[in-house]
Formats: sequence, C-alpha cells, structure tokens
Amino acid sequence: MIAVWTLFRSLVLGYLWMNRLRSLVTLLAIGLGVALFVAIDLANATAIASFNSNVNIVTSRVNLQVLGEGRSFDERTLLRVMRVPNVVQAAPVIEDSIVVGIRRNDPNSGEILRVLGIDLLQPLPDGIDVSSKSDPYGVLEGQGAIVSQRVLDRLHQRIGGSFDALANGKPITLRVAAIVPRAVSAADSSVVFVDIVTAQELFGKVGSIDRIDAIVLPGKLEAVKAALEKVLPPGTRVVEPSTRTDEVRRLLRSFQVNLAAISLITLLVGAFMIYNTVAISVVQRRAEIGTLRAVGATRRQIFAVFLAEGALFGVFGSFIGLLFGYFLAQITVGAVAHTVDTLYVGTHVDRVIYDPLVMLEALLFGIAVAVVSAIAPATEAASTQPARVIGSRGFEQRMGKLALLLSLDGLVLLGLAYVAAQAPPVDGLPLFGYASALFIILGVSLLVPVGVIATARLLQKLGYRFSSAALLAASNFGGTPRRNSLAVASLAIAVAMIVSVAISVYSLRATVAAWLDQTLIADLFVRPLGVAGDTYDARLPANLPQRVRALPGVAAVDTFRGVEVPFRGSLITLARTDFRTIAQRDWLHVSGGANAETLARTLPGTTSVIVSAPFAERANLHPGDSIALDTPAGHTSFRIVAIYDDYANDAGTVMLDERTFNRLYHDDSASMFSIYAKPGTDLNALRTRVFRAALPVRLDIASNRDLRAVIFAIFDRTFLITHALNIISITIAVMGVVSTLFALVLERRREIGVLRYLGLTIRSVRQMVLYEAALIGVLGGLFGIGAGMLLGLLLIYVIDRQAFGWPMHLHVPYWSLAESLVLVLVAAILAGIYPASVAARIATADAVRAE
Amino acid sequence: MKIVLAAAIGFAVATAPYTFRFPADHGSHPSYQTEWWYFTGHLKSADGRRFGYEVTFFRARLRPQDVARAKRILGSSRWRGDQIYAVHFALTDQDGGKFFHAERVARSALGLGGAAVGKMAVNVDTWSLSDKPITLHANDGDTRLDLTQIPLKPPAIHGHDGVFRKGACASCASHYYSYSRLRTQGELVYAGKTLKVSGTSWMDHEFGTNQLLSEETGWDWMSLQLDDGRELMIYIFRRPDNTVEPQSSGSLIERDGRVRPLSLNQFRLSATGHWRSPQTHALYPSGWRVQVPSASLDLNVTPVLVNQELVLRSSPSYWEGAVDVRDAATSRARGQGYVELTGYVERVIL
Repeated sequence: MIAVWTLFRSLVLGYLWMNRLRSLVTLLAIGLGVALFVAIDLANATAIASFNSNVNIVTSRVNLQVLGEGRSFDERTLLRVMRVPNVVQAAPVIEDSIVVGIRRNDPNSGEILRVLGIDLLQPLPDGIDVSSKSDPYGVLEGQGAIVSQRVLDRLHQRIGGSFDALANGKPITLRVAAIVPRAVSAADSSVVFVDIVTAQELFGKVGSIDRIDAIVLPGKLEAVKAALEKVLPPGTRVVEPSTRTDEVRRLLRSFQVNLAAISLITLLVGAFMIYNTVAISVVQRRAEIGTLRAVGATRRQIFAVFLAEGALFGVFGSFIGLLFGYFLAQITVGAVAHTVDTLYVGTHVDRVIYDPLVMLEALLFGIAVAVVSAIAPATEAASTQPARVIGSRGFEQRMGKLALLLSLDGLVLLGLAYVAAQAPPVDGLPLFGYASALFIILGVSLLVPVGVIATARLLQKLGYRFSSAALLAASNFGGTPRRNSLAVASLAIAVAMIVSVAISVYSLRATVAAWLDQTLIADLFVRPLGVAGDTYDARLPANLPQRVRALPGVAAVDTFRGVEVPFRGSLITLARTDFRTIAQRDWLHVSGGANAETLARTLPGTTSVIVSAPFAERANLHPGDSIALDTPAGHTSFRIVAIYDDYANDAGTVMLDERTFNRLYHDDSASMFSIYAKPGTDLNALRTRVFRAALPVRLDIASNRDLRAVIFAIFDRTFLITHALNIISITIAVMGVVSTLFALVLERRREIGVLRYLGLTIRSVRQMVLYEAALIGVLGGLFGIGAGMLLGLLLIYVIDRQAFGWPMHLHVPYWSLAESLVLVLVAAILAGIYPASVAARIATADAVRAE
Repeated sequence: MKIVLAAAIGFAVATAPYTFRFPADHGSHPSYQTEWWYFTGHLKSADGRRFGYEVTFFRARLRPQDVARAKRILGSSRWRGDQIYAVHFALTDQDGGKFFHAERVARSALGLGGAAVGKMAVNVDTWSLSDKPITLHANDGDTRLDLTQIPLKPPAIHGHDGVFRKGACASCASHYYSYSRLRTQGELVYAGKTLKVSGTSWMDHEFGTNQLLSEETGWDWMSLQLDDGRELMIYIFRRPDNTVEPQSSGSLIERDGRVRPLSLNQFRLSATGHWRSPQTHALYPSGWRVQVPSASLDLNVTPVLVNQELVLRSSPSYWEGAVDVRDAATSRARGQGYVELTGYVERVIL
C-alpha cells in the first residue's frame, strides 16, 4: 500500500517543479479569476457598507427609523415618537447635501458632501470633541460644522476656520467646529455634521425633519412599530434600518449581479486552464502512473493524487488571487462606487472595507472550481491500466471520435441555451438568462475540437503550397486536438465576452442616442449648481420658474419635481410634470397605452399616471393596472394609462400631473426645469439672463448639447468597468495559449530535434510554433465572435431587458469586432514568442541521441 | 456634545443678599447661567433590597446676546434657543453590587426640555420633576424610577443672607438651599422586576453664574442624614495644588430645621482611602473621616460601592454615590449619606 502523500510527492510536486513556468501560469490564471471575484465582491460590499454607514453613523444602536415618504415631515412628529412606550431615545435627522470647492471657472469642479443635521447637543460618536473649543454656541446654532480631515485638507482649512459652500445653489458659509473622527470618516469621509438648527435654516426646512432615528427596547420592536403606525401622520413610515439598506441594495442588485456574472466567466477561463494543466500532466506521466498501478497504487489513490493537484492549484492560486484582489479592489471600488453614484444614491467611498467573509468565500470558491476542473483528468488518470505503457499520444488519438460526440453535446447545449433564453426573470433577476449564457459558452467550447480537427485537416491539404513550417504547424495542431481545443476554447470565451459586451453596449448606446433625439428637445436645462446626479430632490427658489417664463426669448418652461417612494421593497421616483403641455412639446416617448394627445386631454388633475418602461417591464405592469403608493395624503391608488421609454434610470419613475402632485404633497417647488426658447433666440445670451435672474442662487444651466454630452459621459463611465474586466479575461486566455504551446513544445523535443537534424532551420522551427499560435488565435477569434454574437443577442434581448428593463435594438459594431479579431490574433502570436524561442533552442544532438 | 459655558456676560449673578420665597424659588431662575435640582437618597424595597439613587436636572444658558443675534441674522429654527437642559439618573444596587446610570440632554425646542418659573416643574424628554407633591420620573431602557417626596423639614438655606460663597471673587457664589430630609415613596423597575420602594432623600436646588474661579478644579460635596435627626452638608472646593479654597463651607441642620453655617475651620474632612476608576483612570478619594467638634461629630464615611462613577458623554464625568456613616470611635451606624466628587476626570467650569 502506498500512501497517497508519497504518490502525491513523487507524481505531482516534482513534476510541477520541473514544469514550474507552466505551473506558475496556471496559478496566475486561477489567481486572476479569484482576484476579480474578490475585487468585485469587495467593491460591492464597500458600496453597500458606505451607504449603511450613513444610516448608522450617529449611533449603531438605532433599530427603528421614521422616514418621510420622499419629503420632510413636521418636526413635532418627534414628540409623538418619544411618547410611545418602550422608545428609549428618538433623535431628529435632516439629510441634505452641499457642494464645496467649486473653482471659479469650472462649475463642475466641486465635491458634493452629504450633510447630516442632528441635535449636536446629544452625545456624539466617540472621538468628536467640540468641547475643547470654548464656543458651544458657534457649534450648536451658529453654522458650525463637523468635517472630515480629508475634506478639510481639500479646502485647506483647519478647526476654527470657515469655508464657502452651496446649498441648493445658494451660497453659504460654514465654520469648522471639529473633525469627524477616523472611525466614522473611514466609512464615508464626505459626511458633514451640522446642528439641526443650522440644517433647518440652510436648507429651508425650518419646522420639519427628514428622519427620526430611534432606539427601542429590542424585545418590543414589533409592539413599538405597531404603536408608531397608529400615531404617525400620513406620509411617514416606520422601518428598521435594514429595510432602507435593502431597498438600496435592491436598486443596485441588477448592476452587481451583472458584474458578478462577468467575474464568474473569468473564473471559468481559469478553470479551463486548470483542466488543461492537470490533463497535460496526466498524459505526460501516463507511463509512471502505469508503473505505480503495477506496484500497488489503487485507482482511488491515483484519482486522489490528481484531484489533489487541482486542489493545490486551487489553494495557491486562490491565495494569489486574494492578494491580487486586495489591490485590485482599490481600483474597482472607485469604479463601482462611481457607477453606483451616478446611477443611484450618493455615496462616497474612500477605502475598501475588507470583509473577511468575502475573502473566505472567494478562497473556497476558487478551490472548489479548481478541484471540479481536475475531476475529469483525474478520472482519466485513474483509468490507466497497471504497467501498460501507452504513448502519450494515446490520449489525443482517441479524440477524433470524441470530438464528434462532444460537438453533438455542444449542439444540445446550444439548444438548451435557446430554451433558457425564453424563460421569464426570477424575482427580477435574469437567472435563466445567465444559465443560457453559460450554455452558450459551454456549447461553443464543445464545438471547438471538431473545428480544430477540421481546420488541421484542411490546412494539411493546403499546407504544401506554403512552407514546411506551416505544414508542420497544421499537422501539430491536428495532432494534439485536445490541448489545442482547450487553448482555443479559453481564448474563444474571452473573445466572446468582449464581443458580447461590445455588442450590447453599442446597441444600448445607439438606442439611447435615438431616444435622446426624440425626447431631449428643450433648449436649456436648469437645476441648482452642485446637486448630485439625476436627483429630483433639490429645491429651486419657489418663484424662479415664473420669473424665467417672463424673460425675453423664453417660449415655455417645464418644471420637474419628484420624491422617492418605496414600492415593493425597492425605491421608485414619483415625478411631477405638466401633462397639459406634453402633446405640444412631446418630450416623452410614449411607447404603450394612450398617446400624447389623449394624455394631455385626459390626465391633468387626475390620479392617472404614466410609468417608465424599465419599471413597467420589471414590475410587470401594463396600461390599465393600478399601483398603490403612500403619500402625505394617505394611501393613494394610481391608474397607469401609458408607458414611456426611459434610459436615464432603471430604478423606475411614475409621472404624475402637477396639479395632483401639488394637492397630495402640498409642494409646488421645482427641482429643475427646462426652457424652450423662441426661434432665433441667442441661447448663450438667454443662458446668462436666466443665470442672472436666479442670483444669488447659483444655477447649473446645460444646453441641449451639453446635456447630451453629459449623458454619454455617464453612460461610458458606467461601462468602463466592463472594459477592465475584458482586458483581464483576455490576459488569462493568452496565458493559456502560452502554457499550451509551451507544453506542446516540450513534449515534442525529440520530434523537433529530429526535424532539426533533418535540416529544418531554427527560423522554421520558430515559425512553426508561431504559426500554431496564430492558428489558435484565429480559431479562438472566430469561435469567440460566433459565441459573442449569440451572447450579445442574449444580453440585448434577454439579460439587460430583464435586469434593467431597457428595451434595445441590435446594432452590431462591425469595426470593433474586426478590431478584437486582430487583437486576439496578435495576442496569440505574442503568446507564441516565448515557446517558439524555447523550441528554437532545442539542441539537435541531444534530442536525437535519444532516438 | 459636552457643554462648556462661555464667559458670563449678560447673566444675573449671585452677589447681593437674597431672600428666598417658596414655592416660587423652587422654580427656575433662567437669568442665571446655571441651575440644578439634585435628588439623592436611600431606598428600600418591600423585600428588603437596598438602593441608592440620584436624579439631577440641570439647566444651562448660552450667552443670550449671541442667541438673539443669530436669530436675527441666521434664521428662526425652533431648535434655536438659549437654554439647555440635562438630566442624570443613577442607581446603586447595594446588595447586587451594581451601578447603573443614564443621561439625557435637550433644548427647549418643541418642549423637549423646560423648567417653569415660579414652580418646581422641570422636564428633559420624558423625564420630569414636578411639585405638589414633589414627583420624580426617570427611565432608561428597562430601568424606571417614579418617586414622590414629602419634606420633613423646611428648606435649609445655606451660606449667609441667601448667598453661598464658592471662591474668593465676589461673584463666585450661588443661591443654594436643600430639603435635607424628604420621605420618599414610589416604584422602581429594575432588572425585570417592579419594586415598591420607600426611604429618605435629600434635595439641593442651586443657581448662579460664574460660580467657580478658574483656579478651582472641582469640589467634594457630601450630605449626611444622621440617625439622631440632624443633617450635615459639607462643600469643599479644590484648587489645582490640592489645597482647599478657604471659602469652602458647610451647614449643620438641627433636628428642628434650624441651619448652622459651618466655616472651613469648624470642621475637618480627610480622605481615608482612594479608588482608581478603571474607565476614566481618575483617582478619587474613597472613604473619609469627618469631624465637627462643635457638634460632637466624629464620623467615618464609607461608599456602599466603590464604583459609583457616572461616565458621561454630554457633561463631565463625576462620582456620586451612596455612603454609610459610622461613628469613628465605636463603628456604630450613625446614618446614611451621599457624596459627590467632581473635577477628577476633567476640570469643571461653571
């Protein structure tokens, strides 16, 4: 009986060391896959955590919150909350934002800071010390602010100094009273604390608050909740802090799942490589395995040994991955946070939160993937007959028939992919879509061997016309179809990812452009300067739209205002618009239900609404359906009469007529407005007139062209991260090409030696390897583009549609497809350079001596 | 936030002789910078468990001219105001060896905090003090205290002519009186049990402006209720070099309620031990010998529990605890009391 460990040492460790370059490449491949997984997971965890930190920043013991339904509520509500039995403490909170550090000539240079107005008299988070500065008054009620060190450095300020900012566009001055302690700023350094007095006065919220943070006896949570629901005014709701986090998490979910899917595909490429490496090592050691079996090693032991080899790669590769991921996360966290920020909620992430659970998960996952990929070759090894020495080619020679079988399986998988693509989303996630993507990838991969063998045969026939090197390359290519197929398939998957992402992004961009042409028709778009993203939450001076209407050159003004309201565990925007003008100006692209003329005639003043297409798609709503929302006027039912296209946000928007909105919310202020100029008006001059009319409030006025540019900038930034992922996965695939070619060269030492002896020049040897590399590249590219097209269709018509609710039309970016084909060919040839030079160094005499 | 008060400009000061009028003077005196209503006492539950308690309401005023100016320039938030209210609640579980404390702070906005003028009525959040009869309510989490108090003696006015000196400067003084013996009854919810409690309490009510000199670091105060029907109050102000401010004084309240002021040379207070707080690392005296020869008193005062430190977030931390009083010579029990030690963690500014 031979111990598995002894077997492992003799069969695996020594071998891996002898082939250390290939071992290293395999380790790096699995490492990169795990690294990506870790980086994306950490980035997501951090984005969520930084949102959480905002919720729990004042005290982590808060276990119940009272929120306004998208708007501030009466501060006296606090008393009602306090008087409910078992409420230990209740604290008022005002949430808003300011912008600081705007340079004179660049209105977009400022940084948006989140302001939390709290009762500064109450015990503050540990480490905030304002008592040492003997000016309690300044802090309490004299516009004192508690700011993070990072922001202070940016503003070149210190305690006691003051800084300028804009609140809803209005210039204000705050005094630096203290520094936010590191424990708090580490999670979110963009938070500024001010006293509730300061917050109410700066943001025009005197008499109201945005939130109540309560600490309730933990055992009485449900009872208190029930009691609160009885005493709270309409337009407020009681939630546990996790509810709110869940709402945001749900908003981000589609985006995150998409990223996670891409990182999984990358890991799949890594798995292919492990499979390849272990398979090659099994082939090369077949003789030894046979001998070992003859001296008593059991099948199980042999199986265990090769599984352990896979596990070894898994363990070390995953650890390398954790290390890479650690650093990579610092890059991706910025990208994710930025995407999250522009798309959804305002968060600021300075630092990655290294969640040990994420690390552990990635580690186990990496190891599992590695072990699973080693199962097939380990089974192959275990089936070796004792002492029967089979040439290493045996493994490859059985490939011909197998390839046909595999391609049949591949076709079946593609059929399954088609079936899965027809399935509806599961809980709002395109899970079957992802399954379909996996089927496509595996299906196309299984078609590769046939492709490799067929190509090799074809080339062998044609090869005579070219050089002997090309012929040899073709015959080699066909001679080891299994390994070459793996290299080709890995490359194909990477190319498929790039191609599919390119197709879907290009299609979405083209669709959005068409949509903008139709809907972005006003001449100027106005909102307060320094307001985050697509927010409806900012407030302009009440009479400003009226004054602007009176300015010379202005034909019409449309105002917008919206509130965020909860709907089925997520958040949607209830937006206000004037439906009377909708037909005249037609800035909505109504795609389902009543047309614009009918809406203009029938909607004003009613509780009928139109909803955005992404929202309708995901919530499965149709014209004629009703949705119930909580408003300050109580539970209100809104009837959907039409659907309109919206690519600006996938969170969902419900448009309500302004008369109804004002009645329900007692709020006729505007967050932004758009201006239609009279024909022939000088837009620059008009812009200046509007800007001056609003002073001292500073406005951000975008022309039609500006706004279009901004939208596309945001769009492109959103998809930046997918490009980074593409580059990494192609890197892994190219490593696979290097490792395959390298193995093949080593295996053919004698053959090459003989060829050299027979007169093949060094140059031809080199060429032979490079040709083979090019073959892998071309085939990988072609299969990749094929799979990529299928994946692209899947993304456009199934996954993106189900995940984001964006209806899209196919636009194929032919140019970038050609580009990626060239790229992969060049990459493959580059990957051949090192193996080629190794092949070229093979000494004739040594190799032939063996013959 | 810990409130540190600014220089006292625009406040009333306690320099002139003052004639107390009750019940009006039980109420708030908002023109002075600081004011407090202090209740300490010893309670016994029906099943014989012994508790010490402290419930103290504070009022502090910000510089009125700053507040008025800000209101004019900055805005009219209801949260803007010049009075700040705080309350401390501590409970000593003598038999369980546990000490519990909690604090609340509020401003006058929405009536969250307030103190009536002309009658005893103070509230911070839902914690309250009211008159007729004197009623206290404090609750934090699942600990709650509801007490009513019946004075057994008239208010004992400390100092001379209604002015209680605290330092060398003329304004370093307050107006200060005590209910030195109150019969207490009520209900305590503690550790999941609702207990009927009764016992004896002491109330201080004090108001003033700029009371401590900058060279004073804090004070040691004690109130002893003797079994013979007398009470003793001692108020020692410390200077940074550990010497005692010569203006420090005390009062002996006779059985019939007459108050005998004690100047520093008429009594002696010496620490017999020390205790280092594990939380704040402050070194507190712990155990005293008190001698008042003119009243034939030679007493040993011992904390019932060494750790009765209130570690606070909204005001400086201090030690306030129930003490046993025994005869120094015979070790016979002579009564009970409360001791307050401030300025050991950080300087107290009034």
